[in-house]
Order: sequence, then structure tokens, then C-alpha cells
Amino acid sequence: MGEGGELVIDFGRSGNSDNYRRSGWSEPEPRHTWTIGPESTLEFPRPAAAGTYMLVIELGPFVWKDRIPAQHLTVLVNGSEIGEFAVREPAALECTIPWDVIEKREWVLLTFRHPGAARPIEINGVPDHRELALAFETLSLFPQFDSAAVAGGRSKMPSAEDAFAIDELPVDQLMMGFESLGENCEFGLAQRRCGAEPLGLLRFASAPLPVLLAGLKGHFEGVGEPDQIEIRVSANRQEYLVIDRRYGFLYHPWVLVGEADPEDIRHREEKRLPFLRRKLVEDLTEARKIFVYRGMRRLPQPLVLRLVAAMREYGPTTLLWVELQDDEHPAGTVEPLTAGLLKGYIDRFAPGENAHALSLDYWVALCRNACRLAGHPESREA
Amino acid sequence: MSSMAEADIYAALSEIFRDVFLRDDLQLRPELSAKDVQSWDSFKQIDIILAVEEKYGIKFNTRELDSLHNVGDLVRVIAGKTGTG
Repeated sequence: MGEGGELVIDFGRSGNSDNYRRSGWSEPEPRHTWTIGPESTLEFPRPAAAGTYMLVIELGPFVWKDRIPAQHLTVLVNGSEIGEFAVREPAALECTIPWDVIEKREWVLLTFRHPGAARPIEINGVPDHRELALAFETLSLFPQFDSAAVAGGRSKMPSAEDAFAIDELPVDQLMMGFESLGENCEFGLAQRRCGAEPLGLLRFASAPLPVLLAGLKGHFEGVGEPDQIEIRVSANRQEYLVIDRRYGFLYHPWVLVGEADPEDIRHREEKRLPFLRRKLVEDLTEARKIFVYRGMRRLPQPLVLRLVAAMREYGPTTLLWVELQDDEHPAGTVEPLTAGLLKGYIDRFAPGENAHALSLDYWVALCRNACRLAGHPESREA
Repeated sequence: MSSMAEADIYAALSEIFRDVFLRDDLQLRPELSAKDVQSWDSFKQIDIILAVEEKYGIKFNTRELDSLHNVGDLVRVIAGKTGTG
């Protein structure tokens, strides 16, 4: 539990859910843990600070055609119901936890009722005898967002002259004004396609939100220490990947198998990572650049606000959060949500297996529109 | 910056660039940039910066890093930080 009352439980195999899972769970798998039977429970220490809390659960259901079109889930905190859902697809569920529900006990008991649990062997013939309902990936608890917490500081609106300069800015210079925080390397590759090669710790990294939040909170201390660096071969056996053990982010060193020895890559990363960490902390503190984040699935706004708050612990930064377009927000739209947060909409993301197949024109349009709202480092310094 | 100091920096950088790019034929000139050298991407840029920091015992801040558009910019920043500018 963080000092601010935040808790992130990662249900992946290398996560921390062992500390919190009580009854009704299977063994963790690489990215998730299945519930077993009609009810499962978690326990965690009560946050120290009084207040209303937000609970966000990222999970996927066991569904099968017409036989199980959805899993019904009821969430209880210390016996009080706080949410009810029909889960038809992978989703991020949000619940509000009033303080009076948790203040009386030192440990908070979370109960998940999922009466539609079923055995795959009986539903679709898959040889799995477990009684499955929901696969939990992450659970995040944090104080309800206080707009005053991220308000204040710079949120300078550019002048008419700035707007003109931004329209005229060459695309490589435009894209140099941004820094990717993840979740994958799509935006870093968009910058490369524009001739922009900024130096960024997370530019080519896989950094899911819990990993990013933990890193920001810890100022990425320890990144690059020799015992925290793991070199792996990718699933397709073609390239190396680097894993930071402390925070859990993974990135491409862009070295093909056979091009270099894993120990040589490790030595190189021992030098590079502390340098990039130092630069990221400076960039966050100076708050000149606009940071970019896109989730690999739709992100709930409370979690993004949490990210903005964590970033603004360093300085008055601005985040461009990118999601898929919808009926009200065509691709290329950028809207200000609150101080330090812009939301952009894109027509499509690159497919997970090929981040190079990206929607370049719309990425550039989003960056130019974001600069019209928040300025660009070069126009700010002019 | 004195021409002697500038020449010294270019000589040191030439050695660094040769090590980073494994090329003996690179002739450094002020306007040389990543667009002119194959494989000069952000990874090579970090290697160059780290080698320069080690060679001169200096640290670049993020504004200085962002201001480096070509070899001439790098020489100017080194000169400024080492007191030879």
C-alpha cells in the first residue's frame, strides 16, 4: 500500500497477488489469475488516509457463445455491495468505495460473487476441469481523484503566434516535442517515421499502467542495476528483449539474435538505463515536453487521472492520452480534460503483433492539435 | 572558442564516432547530422553522449540533449561545459 493509499495488485505470475488472494482462486498464469467457483475473496490493509476510494479491476470473463454470453459479478467490500456488472468481454470495471464501509476494520475484505462459474470441459470440450468465471489481471485502489490535486501549475495556452508557429513546424521538430510513456512502442515508431529520434527510457518499452505508476512513484530508482536487468529472446526467437526486474517493464534493444552476445547487451544497458532514467526524471520535472500514453485496451479515466497526478508530482507536465475515435470524437480530435491532461482520438492503433503498421497521419495530427492546446517546447522557449 | 580547442574536440569526437559506428571513414563536420549517417538513431546517439560524458567528465541536461541537431551543436555544448567555449 503506497503512502497515498494506492494499491495495485498484479495477478500475473510475477505479480504480487499472493499477498492478497484468499479463497476462490486458481494458480496465477503469466498475465492473469482465474477465479475458481462461485465466490472469491481478497484482503488488503485499510488505507491510512480517510476518504472515498476508487477501485478499478481489469479482467476478462469466461464466456462461450450462447451458452455463457456473460459472467455476472457482484463486488462487496466488508459485506457491503458496491458494484454489479455483466461482463461480456475484457473490461476495466470501476467501483466507488465510501470510507464508512472500510473505516471499521484494519483489513479490507473484498468479495467477488460470480455465480456463473463453469467448467470449460463441460461447456466447450476444452480439457480444463476448473470452475472458471473471471480472469483478473490487475486491481487498482486509489483515493478518488481530487481535481485540485492536478490543477495549478503551468497549463499555458499558446498565443496566436504560437499557433502559427505550430502549423509551420516541420514534422520532425514537432514530434521531438513529445515523449512516449508506453504502453507499447507505437508512438516511438511514429516519431522515427517522422525523422525524430528523441532519447526516452520508455520510448520502445512495454509499460502497462501499474508498471508505469510504480516506476513514477519510485522515481525509477535502481533501473539499470546489473541484477535488475534480464535479457530474453523474443517469442518468435528473432530478437532480444530486455526486462527490468524491479518495475517489470520490457523493451526492445533492437538487437537480433546472433548480432550480439546477451552479456554484451546487458553491459550496454547498464550504462544506458541510468542515463535514460536521469533524462526522464528531468523531462518530467522540467515539463517542457508533452508526454504520450496509450493503453493496450481502453483505459478508465480515473486511472488516467491517477497517472497524471503521479506525473505532476514531478512538475506541471501535460499528458496526451490517446484512445480510439468514437461517434462524438473523430480521429485527430484532441480535447483538454483537466489541467495537465489532453485526450486524443485516433482511427486505429497498430496491431499488437506489428507496431510498425501504425496510423501515422493521425498520430501527427494529434501531436499538432495537442501543441495547439498546450504549446510546444520550442514555441514556449521562443 | 579557440580554433585549437575546437580542433581538440573534433579530434576526440572523431575517435568516439569511429568507435560507435565502427567506421574509419567518417569525416566530422559541423553540419553532419543523423540524416547523413546510416544507423545514427537514438541508440547510437546515447552511445555518443555516454562516451562524451565519460571522456570529458560532464553531464548533459535534457535541454542540452534536445538542442543537439548536428555535430556542430555537440561541439558547442562540449566547449561550453568544459570552459573552452
